[in-house]
Amino acid sequence: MLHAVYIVYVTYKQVTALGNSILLFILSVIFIIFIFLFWGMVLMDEQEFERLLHICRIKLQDAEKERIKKDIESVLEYFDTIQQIDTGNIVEYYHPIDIDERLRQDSESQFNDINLLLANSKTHRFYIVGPKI
Amino acid sequence: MNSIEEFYSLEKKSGYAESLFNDLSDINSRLNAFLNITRISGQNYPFSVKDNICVKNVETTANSKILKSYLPPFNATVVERMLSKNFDFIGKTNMDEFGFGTFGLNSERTPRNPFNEDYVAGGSSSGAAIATAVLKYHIAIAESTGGSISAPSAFCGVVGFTPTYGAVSRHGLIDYANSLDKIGLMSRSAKDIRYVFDIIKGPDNYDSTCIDIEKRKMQSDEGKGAKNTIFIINQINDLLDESVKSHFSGLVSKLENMGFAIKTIDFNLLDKAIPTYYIISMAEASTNLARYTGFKYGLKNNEFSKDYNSFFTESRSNFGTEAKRRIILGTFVRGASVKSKYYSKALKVRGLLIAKMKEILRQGFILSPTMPIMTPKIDDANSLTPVQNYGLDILTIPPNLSGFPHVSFPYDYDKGLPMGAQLISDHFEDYSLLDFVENWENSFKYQFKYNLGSI
Repeated sequence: MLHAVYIVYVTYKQVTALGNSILLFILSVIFIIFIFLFWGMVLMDEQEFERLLHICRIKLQDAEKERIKKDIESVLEYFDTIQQIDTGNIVEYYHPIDIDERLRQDSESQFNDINLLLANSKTHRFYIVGPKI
Repeated sequence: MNSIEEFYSLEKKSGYAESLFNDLSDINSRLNAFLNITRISGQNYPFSVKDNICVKNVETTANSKILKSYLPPFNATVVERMLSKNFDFIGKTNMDEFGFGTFGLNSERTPRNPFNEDYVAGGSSSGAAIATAVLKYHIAIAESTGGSISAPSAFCGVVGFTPTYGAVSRHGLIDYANSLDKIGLMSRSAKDIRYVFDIIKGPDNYDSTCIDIEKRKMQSDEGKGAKNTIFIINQINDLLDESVKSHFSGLVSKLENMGFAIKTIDFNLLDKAIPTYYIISMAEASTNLARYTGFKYGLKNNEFSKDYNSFFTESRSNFGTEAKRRIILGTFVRGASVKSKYYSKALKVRGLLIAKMKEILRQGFILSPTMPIMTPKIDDANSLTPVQNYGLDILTIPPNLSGFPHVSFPYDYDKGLPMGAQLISDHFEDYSLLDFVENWENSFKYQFKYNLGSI
């Protein structure tokens, strides 16, 4: 964001130095903001990549990070190709076929192999032990 | 007679089961079909289960280190139904981690093609296809999200059947992408598949997305496609290797001679199915894999003194590179600022693809080679970039993305390696595919290098 403020400031100095109108200045600001937003939507910059890694709770070694980041840029360019398709009034297809809404009774049931279930975790009495939150 | 009936009609010599176990263990050390092998009685017909489907008290990991030593406390519905009909569970089959792959190479134990070990077996249900190609009497429970049954079936020369989305319960399946995952079958003949499909299909109280395909077929005007018309999509011509093109035209001629009407048709959206599929599948995978935190399933991180975020992040370093890549991309495409551009748009494109494909499938089948390339060598497949790799799924993704049933069947051999063709039908027309392949098998004999367990 500091980069954007700096670019706006430099543009302002240049425009005023040249004695151009305030309209030109406003147009320049709109143009820069548009480029900035568009850029942020299409490409994943370093900051965005680090933010994503944090959200995903994924930590990468340097070599793996470089490789995956490079791969992701090319995959996103590939993903962008669907923008050309006119989807008109088509709705979002969450399932490929219609699935009827089927609900079960909200009733209690007994799970018979509770010990097998707990065997997959570190336990204390009949509790699963996890990290502190 | 199918091979299940044949198996029960034959008298087994004493030591049959022990000898089968030893032979299978021996060949498995080279081909890596199974992640674990169970001793069977020899009296019942054996079935294998892909490692992302739960078998009670048998290690089930979706071939990921993050699920290492996970012992499910229950059987998947499909496993329960097989056991209830006295089939014998023979082992968990190798796969790409969580199903993320086309060649089986996202596995620490590289699956090898049973016809030539320098070549890939295909993925992600690699082990299921290898097991089917080496065992004389056996059926594989496999799973497909974007082509994981068709691709390995083609490379290993077996029949791979992916039913209509929702036809088989997914209770007990380790989810990759919920709107795409389908449990299916691999075998050496369509007759065996028909027999077992009758057992495993149908509604299940544990899976609200599971449907009755026969009921749905009767209720709608879907699935009325002409059974003697086959459409070839014009756009595939530019995608095929010359060698594949030449073999495939031979198949088309044979089918014409068998009395099928062959027609060509345009489908301009074909190449858009791949990005659409990967956006949806990665978005869904990134949410499904969020449950692996290092203390509830499998792998145990006992560093409980660490705060939750550090604990979680450290545990998730056990994902493989492809899984990490898909989690990151899937999280990105769901982000608030780009969701309408990627995820929502992909869901709409899926709707468009289904409508366009349905227009064709109401008039007949769609046929293509299963894969656009000849079986690659393991080293060559390893050097592909992700985009090159994803691009090779172009023929298997459209039916998977759209939930149409499809079957891959062997139709020719080149330099000793099998080649597969893929037939697609309309929703709920699963049995018409099996009818077609049964008919094909009357005139074409499949070849196998191994026949372990012959009686």
